[in-house]
Amino acid sequence: MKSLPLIGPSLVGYVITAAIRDKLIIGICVLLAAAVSLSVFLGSAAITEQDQFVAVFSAGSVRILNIVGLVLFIVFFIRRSFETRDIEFMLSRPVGRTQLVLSYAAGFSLIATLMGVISGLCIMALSPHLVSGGHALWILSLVVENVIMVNVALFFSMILTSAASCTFATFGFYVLARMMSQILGIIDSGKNAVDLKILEMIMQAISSVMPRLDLLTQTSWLVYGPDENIGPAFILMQGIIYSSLILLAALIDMRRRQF
Amino acid sequence: MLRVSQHNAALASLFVLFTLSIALNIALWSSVRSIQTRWSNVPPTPGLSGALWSSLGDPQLAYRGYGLMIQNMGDTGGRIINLGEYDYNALGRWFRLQHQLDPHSSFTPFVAGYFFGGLRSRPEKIAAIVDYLELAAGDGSGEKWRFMSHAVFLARYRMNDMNRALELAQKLAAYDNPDMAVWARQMPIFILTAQGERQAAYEMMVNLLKTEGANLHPNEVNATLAYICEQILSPEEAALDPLCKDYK
Repeated sequence: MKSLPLIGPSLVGYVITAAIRDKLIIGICVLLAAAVSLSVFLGSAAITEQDQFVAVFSAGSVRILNIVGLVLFIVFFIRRSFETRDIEFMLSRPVGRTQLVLSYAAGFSLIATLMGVISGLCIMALSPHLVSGGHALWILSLVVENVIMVNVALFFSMILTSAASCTFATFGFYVLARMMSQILGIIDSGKNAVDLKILEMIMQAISSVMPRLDLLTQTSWLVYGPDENIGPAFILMQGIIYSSLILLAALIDMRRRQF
Repeated sequence: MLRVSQHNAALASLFVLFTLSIALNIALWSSVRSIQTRWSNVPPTPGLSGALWSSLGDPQLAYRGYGLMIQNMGDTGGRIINLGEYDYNALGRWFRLQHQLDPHSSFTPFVAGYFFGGLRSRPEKIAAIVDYLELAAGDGSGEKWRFMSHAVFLARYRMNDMNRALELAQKLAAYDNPDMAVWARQMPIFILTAQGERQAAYEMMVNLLKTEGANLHPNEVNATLAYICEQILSPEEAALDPLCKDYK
C-alpha cells in the first residue's frame, strides 16, 4: 500500500483558501496600517529621536497584532472544523491523522511566514534610513515567533473543546513565554522565601518546556542593530525544536482521540 | 387587526421608554459633566520587572512607552502643570528606571536636562536632575559628555552649588573622549575662577595649553589665552605675565 505523504498540498491549499475566504490577510493588513499610523502619530510627538520611537512603537504593535490575528483565526477555524465535523469527514477520506495535523500546521506556518514578512517590510519602509542587520534579524525572529505561536494555537485548539478557552490558553502561553526571563531572573536573584522553593522548582520545570520568546523580536535590534548574543542560528533552532515539540504533542493527542 | 394594533402599541411603548432612557442618560451626564480627572502628581515608579511586564518583556518598548509618558506627564487632558509642582524626587526615580531600561538612548537625559531642568528658583528640586544627568552621562562616550556639561551648568547656575559644580566639572574634564570640546575640559577652571581660586585656575589653564596646545585649533588657543589674560589675571598681573605679553 502506498504510504501517504506527511503533508498534503491540497490540505495546505484548503487552509490557505480558508484564510483568504475569512479575509484574514486583508484584515491583519488593515489593522497593521492602523497600528503603524498610530505609532507614527505617537512617535512624532517625542521631542527627540522621533524615528526611533516610531520604529519601536510600530514593531511592538505589529508583533502583537500578528499573534492576535493568527491565533484567533486558527482557534476558530479548528473549532469550527470540529463542530461541523469537517475533521471527521476528512479522516474518512484517504487522509491520515498525521497528514491532517502536519498539513494544517504547514498551511498555518505559511500564513504566519507571509504575515511576518509583510509586517517586517512595513517596519523597514517606515524608516528606511535606520535599516540595518537588526531589521533582518527582527523579521526572521518575527516569522519564527509567528510559526511557533500558530503551532501552539493548533495544539490548544486540538485538545480544548471551547474556542474561548483555546484563545485564553494560547494568549496566556504567549504572555508566560515572553515573561519567563523575568520569572527566572527573580528565581536566580536568590531573594526568595524558603517556603517558595517548591514553586521555584515548578517554574524551572515549566520554563524548560517553554520557548524563550523574550529573546525574539527585540525592538532594540531596530534601534541599535543586532544583539551579539542572539543570532539567526539560535532563532531558527528555537523555532524548529519548539514547533516539533508542540506538533508531536498535537499528533499524540490526535492519535489517541476516539471519533 | 387587533394583533396589528397590539404590536403597534407595544412598539410605541418601547419608543417612549427608549426616549425616556436617553433623557435620563443626558440628565445623568449633565450632573457629572464638570467632574474631571485630577493631576495627582508624578506616579510611583514600578520596579524593573514590573516595568517589563507592561511591554511583555521588551525593554526598548517599555523605555519608549514610559519616555513618552514622562515627556507628556501632567500636560494631557487639557491641563498644563507648572514645573514647580512636579515631585522631582519621583521624577528622578523614573529617570533612573529609564536608565536601567536603556542606558544608550539620549531621549530621557534630553527631557530631564532641557525640559525638567528649565525650572528656576527651586535648587532643591534641580538636584534630582543633576544626579540623574551625572548617571546618564556614563563614561562620556559619544555625545554623552554634553549631559555632564549641562549638569555642571545646572549645579552652578540653578542650584548655586559651586562645590557640586566643581565635582561634576572635574568628572567631565577626566572623560577619555578625544572628540570632546576643549571648553568641556576647561570647565573646572571656569568653576575655580568663579570661586575666586584664581591661582588654581591659572595653573590648570596653563597646563592645558602645555599638554594639548599643539592639538588645539588656533582659535581655541586664542580663546584660552583671552580667558587667562582677561578673566583669571587682573590687568596688572596680565601686564607682567609672559603669556599675555604677545596677547592683544
